[in-house]
Amino acid sequence: MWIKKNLEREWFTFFATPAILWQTFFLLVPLTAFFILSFLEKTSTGWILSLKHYELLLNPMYIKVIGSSLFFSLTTTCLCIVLAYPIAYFIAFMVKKAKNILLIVLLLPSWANIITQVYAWFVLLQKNGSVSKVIAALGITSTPAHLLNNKPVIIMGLVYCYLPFMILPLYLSLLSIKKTLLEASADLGATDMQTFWRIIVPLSRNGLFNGILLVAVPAFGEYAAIEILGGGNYALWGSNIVDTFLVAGNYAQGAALTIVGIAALISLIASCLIIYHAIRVIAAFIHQIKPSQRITTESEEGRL
Amino acid sequence: MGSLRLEHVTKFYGNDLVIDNLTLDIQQGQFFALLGPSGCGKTTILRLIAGLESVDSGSIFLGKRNITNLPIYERKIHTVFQSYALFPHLSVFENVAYPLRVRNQPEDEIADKVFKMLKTVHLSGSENKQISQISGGQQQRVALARALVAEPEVLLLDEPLAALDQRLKEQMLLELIDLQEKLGMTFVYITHDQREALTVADRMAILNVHGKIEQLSTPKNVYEFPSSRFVANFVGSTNIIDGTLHRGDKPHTFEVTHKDMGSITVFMQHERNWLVPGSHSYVSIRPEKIKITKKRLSDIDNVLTGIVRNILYQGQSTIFDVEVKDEYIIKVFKQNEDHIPEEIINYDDEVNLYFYKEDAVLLEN
Repeated sequence: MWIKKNLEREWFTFFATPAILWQTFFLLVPLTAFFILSFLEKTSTGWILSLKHYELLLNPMYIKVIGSSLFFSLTTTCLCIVLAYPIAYFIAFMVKKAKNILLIVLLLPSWANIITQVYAWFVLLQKNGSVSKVIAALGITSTPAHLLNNKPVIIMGLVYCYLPFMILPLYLSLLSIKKTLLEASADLGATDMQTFWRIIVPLSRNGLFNGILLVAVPAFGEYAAIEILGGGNYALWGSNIVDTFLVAGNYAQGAALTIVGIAALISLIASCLIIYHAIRVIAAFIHQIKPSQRITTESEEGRL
Repeated sequence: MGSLRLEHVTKFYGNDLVIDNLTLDIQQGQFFALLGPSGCGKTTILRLIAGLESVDSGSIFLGKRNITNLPIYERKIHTVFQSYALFPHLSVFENVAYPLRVRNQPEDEIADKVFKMLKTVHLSGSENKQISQISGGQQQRVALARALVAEPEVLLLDEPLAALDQRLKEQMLLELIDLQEKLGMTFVYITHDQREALTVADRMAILNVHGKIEQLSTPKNVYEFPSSRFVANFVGSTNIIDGTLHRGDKPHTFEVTHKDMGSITVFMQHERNWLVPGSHSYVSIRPEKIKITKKRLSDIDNVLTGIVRNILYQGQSTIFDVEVKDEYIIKVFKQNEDHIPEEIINYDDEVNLYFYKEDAVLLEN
């Protein structure tokens, strides 16, 4: 037993070392450096501890910017969930032979850089682009349509870029659901919608959670795509950070912005998890309050 | 109410014919068994009744209602799946409550019915356990309770006991019979295990390929009077001797003459139009109906003589393989009735095999 446990530990160390080293040097160290840097202020006499770089949190403009980034991130994530479920469901349960081919076709665009993908949309949607020409030719508008520089088109672009990252984890978790469970559900009287909410969603929640992480986090930091499709009209947390670092050259201020952004994301995800668990706890409480009452009355009957 | 009728049902999977023009009646309140080898289409029949598959042609009636095109969730037919198909994220209670929840029944009614049903299947006290925490036998009971709780008109059971060990299987068979009697519900039981089917069924259908019904009768009739070589071989084991059919000397008797073994006399209570003298016919004799002895007996209609080639001692009984003529083996079961048998039969002994003409059965096919 001892030898076995020891061996297991050695193997664990062996396999975990690269990951731990990677995370330490490329995540933990820079993040700690940023964290410390964000509380430092450069004065004529040298660096001093200060909260100056967090003062901007009191500025409503910055609150608006972080709100705008959260808005794009959340909307993109929600739309991705709504679109990815039917697609992943279709491939996992309805397609028999061409599962992998379909999946590759779906993932193919994401092999290109996001900026490339968005730029392709830009070319299509610009004032004299193909889409506006088609619309004009169909007689829907008389003059070439203005399709860019608005929120719907930005969200469309983001959804297009991030959808594969929602589909893949969802698809994998749906694959692990046995088809007989869905048949049993229908057999027991559940409609397709009931089967979806009561069986498919709970059993694919890990995939859903992974998908949300893969979409919400990068979409929050996304700025290049939004600049291209939005014509630079939308102030974003990501572009804020870039400007502070590269244009203003204020590294301490940039570090503070980064830390605030991470905090906003973590609190967003944490609140999602809290809401999710709260719903489960409440549901379990509602379901179990009656059964437990029953158990006591039954055992009392037994005693009598 | 809970009577089922399949009318000229045909089903293809792609280009493969699975069910060919099947017509089948199952009465309300019957414990009906569909017995057949794997690949005979019995599971497909069950899936068609449940609504998990749609028919290519033909109709299915539940009572007087045509349910052929009724969606699966509207049929009052529930299934106990072979793999149980219990929901892994729900507790025992929630699994059983599932059919009631999806019908939006009030909470107290759900609790009431679930507890009653869990009591019926002897699972009281396990309601808060997770599915992974209970044994295979208990999972079986949960699946049964879940299928019964919404009081379907017909309960379908797809090889429900296949995953259980022998002792548990026998216990569950008895419980199923009790349960069916108590509820008066129509049970349709699918199995490839003839012993299960013989034990539980009021009536049973023996299926051959493409869902062809070889025989539909009571278990006793199927076993004692199999209609075909297929049934005789599939349900229990048997010896089949073929030869030319002749009318016997006495009324109600026929003779089947095998080219080497001579004639066998068979008693037939009723005339049948397939009993054509001169035709090639098959006789089935069950191994336990044959008396094996070295002595000479009188007053038994049929006798064959052979050499003992194999002896399989099984405690309560012994199986003898007796070579009668030219490697033609007759199987005999002998009940080990006496502690010290008066006659000891050994390998290579010459023995006489006696059986009554009433115990031999002429097969239609």
